[in-house]
Amino acid sequence: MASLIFHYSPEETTLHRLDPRVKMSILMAASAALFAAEGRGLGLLAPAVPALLAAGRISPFRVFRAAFPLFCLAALVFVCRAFLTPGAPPAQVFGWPLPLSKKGLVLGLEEALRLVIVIFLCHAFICVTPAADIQRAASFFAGKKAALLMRLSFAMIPELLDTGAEILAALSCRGLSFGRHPLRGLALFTSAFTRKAAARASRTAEALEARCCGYRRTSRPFSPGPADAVALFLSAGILAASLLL
Amino acid sequence: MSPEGEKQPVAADDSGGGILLAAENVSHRFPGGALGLENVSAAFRPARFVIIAGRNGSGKTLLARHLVGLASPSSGRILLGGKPIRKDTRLLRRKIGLVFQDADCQLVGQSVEEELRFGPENLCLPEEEIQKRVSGVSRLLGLESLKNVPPSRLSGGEKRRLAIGGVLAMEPEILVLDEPFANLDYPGVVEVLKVLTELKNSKRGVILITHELEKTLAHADRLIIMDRGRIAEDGPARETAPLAGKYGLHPLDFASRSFGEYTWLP
Ligand SMILES: Nc1ncnc2c1ncn2[C@@H]1O[C@H](COP(=O)(O)OP(=O)(O)OP(=O)(O)O)[C@@H](O)[C@H]1O
Ligand SMILES: [Mg+2]
Repeated sequence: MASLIFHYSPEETTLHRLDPRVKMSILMAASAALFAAEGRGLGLLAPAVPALLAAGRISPFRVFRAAFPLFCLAALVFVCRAFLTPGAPPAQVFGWPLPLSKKGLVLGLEEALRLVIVIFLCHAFICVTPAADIQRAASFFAGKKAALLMRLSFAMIPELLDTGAEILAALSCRGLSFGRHPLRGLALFTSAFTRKAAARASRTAEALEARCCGYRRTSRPFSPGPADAVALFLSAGILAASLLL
Repeated sequence: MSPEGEKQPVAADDSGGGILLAAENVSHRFPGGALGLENVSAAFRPARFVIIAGRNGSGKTLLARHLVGLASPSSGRILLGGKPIRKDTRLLRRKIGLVFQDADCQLVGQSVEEELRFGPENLCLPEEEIQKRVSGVSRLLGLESLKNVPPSRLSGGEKRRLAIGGVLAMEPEILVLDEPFANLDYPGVVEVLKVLTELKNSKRGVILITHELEKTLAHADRLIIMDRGRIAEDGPARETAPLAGKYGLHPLDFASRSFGEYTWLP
């Protein structure tokens, strides 16, 4: 069984066809802008995500289901921020004062939103950019060695996620319910995952070695077109506006 | 069988061109102490079709891994063009291609096209040459319509053809195939067999690891039978094949079927 997140998904869309350097620059600029923008700026960036998903034919529900633990993390960030940020006046719900501040509520929402947008952005980037293209673009920006490392990391993430998904499926096929035996399930999962992930990583390394994988390789030439220019200007505009608002 | 450590002459078929690849007294001891290969010596030339057969666990896959430098011998050595392979395994892998027993382990590309391009790109070939090879191999193995499909979505047989294609695109001088017929249906086996015989005709070597002698024997020049990590029999296929039954392989009945009939090629 394959996990549904952080996998390249071949489709014929404009996003898939964009120059990988453009996609990578937009991802980096958007991530930076995301952490610099506040309030209304963030509000402007949020609607860009569904637009991006639609353009790449990526189902948000699948991401949501597959990356559920990451979304739980975002919820945790929100709760911690909201309850642990000192400030006044306290927010009231149905007339009851809650032990959280308005400032904490806003900060928590902003940080959770940032995390959610980053998850969707990274997923969208990997969905529409094959690993070979990621390597090409990274090699343009950071050199061949860094690009190879980046490609290997991007190749291993889905492998590890798949390993996790396979073990969970195998455990549930053999009648182990996490709901009823959470500790036993966790222990079995962790030990199986560690062993299998190591074996999978070493087999992948062998497969790469057997095919002469190295940082010196032929790189397909870039062929930027008008769509790339439009994408660059559009995203630069949105990102600049999000920072100025 | 000679005891461990004793030097054996490198066995090879004596006819034809020079020896490209050779294992010389190769032994492999696992970390726990178990012996996986014991004093294995064999030499291989291009343009030869060699079958390596043997029961489960006899060391065929381990030998294949040594032949492409993925495992290093505890004693003995692997020679490429007469020179021992030390650190530069890259040169070895340019000349000797390995199709893994488990296709899933081998596929690293995220689409069929990317998988086929992967090897030639690593060889730093020019873009036009890569495209030529990719389209040639896709046509040869019937993968043209699957160009954009991710390998994880392919059937077992399609994955197997893709794994073979990925290595073929690197145009190795000797192709080692570990159980390539697993998961293949009848047309799939015929297709792969055709490719292998064409490779032999184009002066490339084929080392085929298989249990299924009845599908392929007729094409073999030489048959090596492995047993418990050693080469038990090695010789011309016609002469060695009648001994297969002694080593846990399906016995071949040469009284009712001639040597040339042991093939699935129509
Ligand atoms: N890490 C290890 N430690 C000890 N023994 C091992 C280890 N790895 C493999 N073996 C053993 O080495 C032997 C040779 O394995 P190999 O995979 O080469 O067999 P094979 O001939 O390819 O079998 P099959 O036909 O089933 O593919 C097997 O008996 C196997 O159990
Ligand atoms: Mg094997």
